[in-house]
Amino acid sequence: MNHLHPRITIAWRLVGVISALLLTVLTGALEARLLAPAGISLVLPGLITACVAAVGFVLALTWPSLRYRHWLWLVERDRVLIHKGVVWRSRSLIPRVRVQHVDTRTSPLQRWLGLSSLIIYTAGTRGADAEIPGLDSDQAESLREQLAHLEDLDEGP
Amino acid sequence: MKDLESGETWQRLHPVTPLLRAVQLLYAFVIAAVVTSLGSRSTLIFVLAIMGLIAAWITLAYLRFRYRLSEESLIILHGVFIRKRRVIPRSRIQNVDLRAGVLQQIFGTTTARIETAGGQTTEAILHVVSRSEGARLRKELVALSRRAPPTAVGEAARVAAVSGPPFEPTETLAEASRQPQMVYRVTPLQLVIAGATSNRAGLLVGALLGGDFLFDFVPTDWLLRRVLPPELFDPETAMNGMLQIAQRDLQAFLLGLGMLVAFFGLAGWAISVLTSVVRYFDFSFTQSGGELKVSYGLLTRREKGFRRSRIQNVQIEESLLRRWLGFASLHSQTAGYGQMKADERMETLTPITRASELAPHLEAAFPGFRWEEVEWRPSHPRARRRLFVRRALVILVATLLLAPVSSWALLLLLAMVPAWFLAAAHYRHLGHARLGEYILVREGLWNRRTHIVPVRKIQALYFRQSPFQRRLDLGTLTLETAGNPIEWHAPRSIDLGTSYGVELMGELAAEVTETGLTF
Repeated sequence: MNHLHPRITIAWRLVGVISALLLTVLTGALEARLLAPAGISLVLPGLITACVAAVGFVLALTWPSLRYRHWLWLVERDRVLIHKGVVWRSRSLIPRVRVQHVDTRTSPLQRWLGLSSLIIYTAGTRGADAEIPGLDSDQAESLREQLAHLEDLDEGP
Repeated sequence: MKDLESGETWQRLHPVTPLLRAVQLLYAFVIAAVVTSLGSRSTLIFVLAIMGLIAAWITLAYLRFRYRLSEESLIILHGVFIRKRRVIPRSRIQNVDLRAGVLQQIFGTTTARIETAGGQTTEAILHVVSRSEGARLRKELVALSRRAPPTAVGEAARVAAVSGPPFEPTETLAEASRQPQMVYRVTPLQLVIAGATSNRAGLLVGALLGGDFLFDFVPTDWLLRRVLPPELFDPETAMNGMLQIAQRDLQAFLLGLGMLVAFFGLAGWAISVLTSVVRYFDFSFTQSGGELKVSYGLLTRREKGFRRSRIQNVQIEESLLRRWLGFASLHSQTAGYGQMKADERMETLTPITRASELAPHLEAAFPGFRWEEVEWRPSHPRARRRLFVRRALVILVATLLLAPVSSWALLLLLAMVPAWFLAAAHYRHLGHARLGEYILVREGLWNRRTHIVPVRKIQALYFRQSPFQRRLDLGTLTLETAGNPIEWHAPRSIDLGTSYGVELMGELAAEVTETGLTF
């Protein structure tokens, strides 16, 4: 099975670091705002904020590589397979005869990294599990073309 | 095909349309009355003018609304200022629903809603048509939408490929099977049972009423005054009083509380029974060829028709109470009905029936389906351990939290024994089965749901493992079909062994591929 493009971890780390930063600032501001007027010492809350920051940053930096290692996809002749999840594992299987249409999507961050997402729609999926997020843009395009044409499968009964 | 010839002319809606729609004017009138009571005479004139405009609009809209059935489609012309022409190809029509409210029942009319698969909303609404015209529309559009001209074989194949399987010869030609056959008709007693045993509505309504009216509802007030001392009604001392009375006369307090709970519980129950009877009054389920029809309702009479090839999956629901009494209800999922409420999208095939008499219902939905031949395969035996651990953890946490308060909390650990039995019972209700081109999955201890999914309707498959499941090498196989409401679980088989589950997923996918583009 294929991994995503390794550069996707950069995007995940970036998003993780930014969220960690926001969370830290938020907890810090909340504590300062609520406790300082009441005259409570800020040492303990400061420690809590530091913990939040530490855990947040460590997770933001390490989790993406774990996630990357467990994110696998494969397009076979008749099916698309997606394996993902570090803690909650999920394997998705989409029979290609059920693919309704395929989109590629590129966010600004992805564009900067030269990546694209491939989104596969069926009549049933709720749009959650049929997305392959970090593909090389050219590869995503060619995959989209490939999935849109069923060739040998197209002439069903 | 005679009745479908171009001889069919443009038709208007039923003449009472403006009248019925004018009922909406009543609301406007009420608002007008309120406004005039507040404002001056000029507002009255203003409101009257608006009402006149609305009345004119309704009449015009009625006069400009025409429709006709052509060979391939339903064509609707409408629009007061801008004429709009809407063409709905017959092959895309999923369902035609007829719904008649109380007023419409008096006039002998009904509202026809035409549903297609792609639409986010109802595709077309023929607001008021006579009941016979509604029945004709349903028959023409649902039962006969498969009448592709024999010359256009390629086209027919394409249509079939998109809209459903090639129709079985027994269905297309045998005129005898076209005769409507009554599959099921509910008796009022069964509806009472259905309401009495439904475990959602009753208790919920009871609880809501209880919460809402606890202290304003007259009988409760009266009751409270009998049972509780008057100082309790002084708002300032109410809280203290509650505590005092609880300490002083626990028995009286509990009695009052018990009576309240019983009262609201019974009220909720009665409401549930009433709702069930009113909603499903005179429920009948008929089959003619490939068309299924259900009609029901006392105040609002609903009549829904759909082709059985459109059924994505069928769900058998048995609550604990119903299981004991040997009853079950049956719903089907069709792909129409866009973004409607889940309740609307699930079509009731029977509100209640003896579980032992389900077979003919299922055969009507899935021809050739032999319910009695289903052999359930249990989930992996390790599932029992997981189901127990899940409950045991809750007990353990509760014990740990309560232990510092009182050492009696340790007695809670005794609950582990019933938890084990519950887990074992829960395990017995998990399972899956294969039968021909169908896969069946079931889950749920308190409310057991059995899904029957035709393999060719499967859109995607998922095998998911929580950390707990992963430790026990188990996983849950989910079968996604079209039209499953987001807020509900898709059909799934919980706690299969990993290698078995993955293999089953692969097998099913291969079968889906074999069925080609039909679904």
